Amino acid sequence: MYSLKRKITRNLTINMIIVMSVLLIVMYFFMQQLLRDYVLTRLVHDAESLISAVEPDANQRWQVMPGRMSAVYERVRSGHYYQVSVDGQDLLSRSLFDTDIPTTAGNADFSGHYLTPGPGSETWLVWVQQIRKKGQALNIWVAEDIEPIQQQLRQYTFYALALVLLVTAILIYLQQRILGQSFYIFTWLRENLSSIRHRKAQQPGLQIPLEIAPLVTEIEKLVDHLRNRIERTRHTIGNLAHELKRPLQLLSMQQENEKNSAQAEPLAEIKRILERELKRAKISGSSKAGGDFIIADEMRFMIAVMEKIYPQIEVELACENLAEPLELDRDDMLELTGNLLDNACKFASSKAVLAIRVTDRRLTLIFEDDGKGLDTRQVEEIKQRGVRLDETVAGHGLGLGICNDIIDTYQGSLSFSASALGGLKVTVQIPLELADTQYPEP
Amino acid sequence: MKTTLLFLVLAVGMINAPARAGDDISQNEIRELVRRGELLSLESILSLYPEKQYGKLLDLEAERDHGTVIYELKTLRSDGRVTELKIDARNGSLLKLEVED
Repeated sequence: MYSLKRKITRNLTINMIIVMSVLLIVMYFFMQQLLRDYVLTRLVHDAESLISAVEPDANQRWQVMPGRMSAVYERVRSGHYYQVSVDGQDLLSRSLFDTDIPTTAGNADFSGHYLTPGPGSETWLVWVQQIRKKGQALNIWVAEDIEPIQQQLRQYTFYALALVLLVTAILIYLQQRILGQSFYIFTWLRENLSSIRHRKAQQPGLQIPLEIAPLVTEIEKLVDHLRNRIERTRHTIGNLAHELKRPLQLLSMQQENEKNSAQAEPLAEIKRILERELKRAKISGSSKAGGDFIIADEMRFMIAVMEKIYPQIEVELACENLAEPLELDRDDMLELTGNLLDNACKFASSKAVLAIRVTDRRLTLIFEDDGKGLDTRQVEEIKQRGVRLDETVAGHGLGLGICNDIIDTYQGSLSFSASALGGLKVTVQIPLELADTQYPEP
Repeated sequence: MKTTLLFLVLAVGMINAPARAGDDISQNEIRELVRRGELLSLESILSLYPEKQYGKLLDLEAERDHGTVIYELKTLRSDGRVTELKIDARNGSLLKLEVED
């Protein structure tokens, strides 16, 4: 696994550094060339002045006519120098004082420019030219110290580098922000998927970028597909179990009639397996996006059903207005409450009470009846032998096996005690906020 | 950046002043003395007087004084003061330092 954001940022950083470095280097060389070309044009101009100023005197000694050259050539070490070589004579600018312009000896024909180190920290750009005047061959060198200019160029390049680094940093920061905003779509997507799984209301719609739209569509299709398949599977298994029950009942009866105890065991086994698979089909359906589970509404409906089945029992519902949908599977909850309420009504003499309490973290269901109840020994028996006790006694058990499986799935708890009404009090507690990993996989 | 630099270069190049008065001793004589090793080269003298301390060299006059050659250096220090140094050209020793007001 790698971070897309980090990868994009890293690539951008590397590209920026490469591009900026190339730009800086190119800029530096262009500027350097420009400055040298500029100095060179001036050197050429001064060489032309020098050519016109150098004359032979009455004694045929060549000299530079006084006052014809710029004063900078007169100041010692001014950074501007010339040298004329004619007829075995060397005419030097006073600025040279006791040094020479390093000439390209042995290459008298050379005409052009070159760089050479001067005295101290000076760097000279030299313009060299060959001319003929008054029947003589003249070699002319004009030099200028370009070190101050180059130093300035280096300084400006350093500023440019600092600016480039700053701009790069700002660009990377901005790009990070844009990326963060763009990647929010994935957070949104994940939250919506999680909402589907937990049957919460979906997040308000987000404008889905073109690049991700196909993925979103695919996920939506997949969710739909899964939902349909689970419902179909559940239906099929329900049908199958239902279809099998009757022939199984028939077999049971035959077996009882024939007192064939050898068959009793496998038949009971088949029955158990059948019950278990039926339960499993229901429990595993927890990913069904079957709408919200609004417990108060569902319970009112269930109590109405119970009162029809047990007309002599008055069923009371004690709950606050629990309009908030719960993150629980509707079918599981109906199965659980239906079973326990059915038990309560079955054993009640005139009244059963269902109390529902929802706190931030858990759902508490309390079923009570005013029947004979169970004595301590019987309660202990249920606890000790486990709630699976009834599973082997098909048809007239307490249905506690199924209930226990459901409660286990949600990591809840089930406990029994004596009710104030006289009968049994069954308390179910189910935590509401399950960690993702603990949530049953579809 | 470009303009400043070009302007600077241009301005320096356009300075036009009459040739200065000659020295007591000609450039050719000095060159000959330096070549013979009787005088230190200007470069080695200047290396004894760093720019940071004594200022940037503006100009130099060479004087002959009882057979010795003395350089009169005019420098501009970073505090804006013009300084005059008298230096023995044979060994580079400082004879006189004068800060102008």
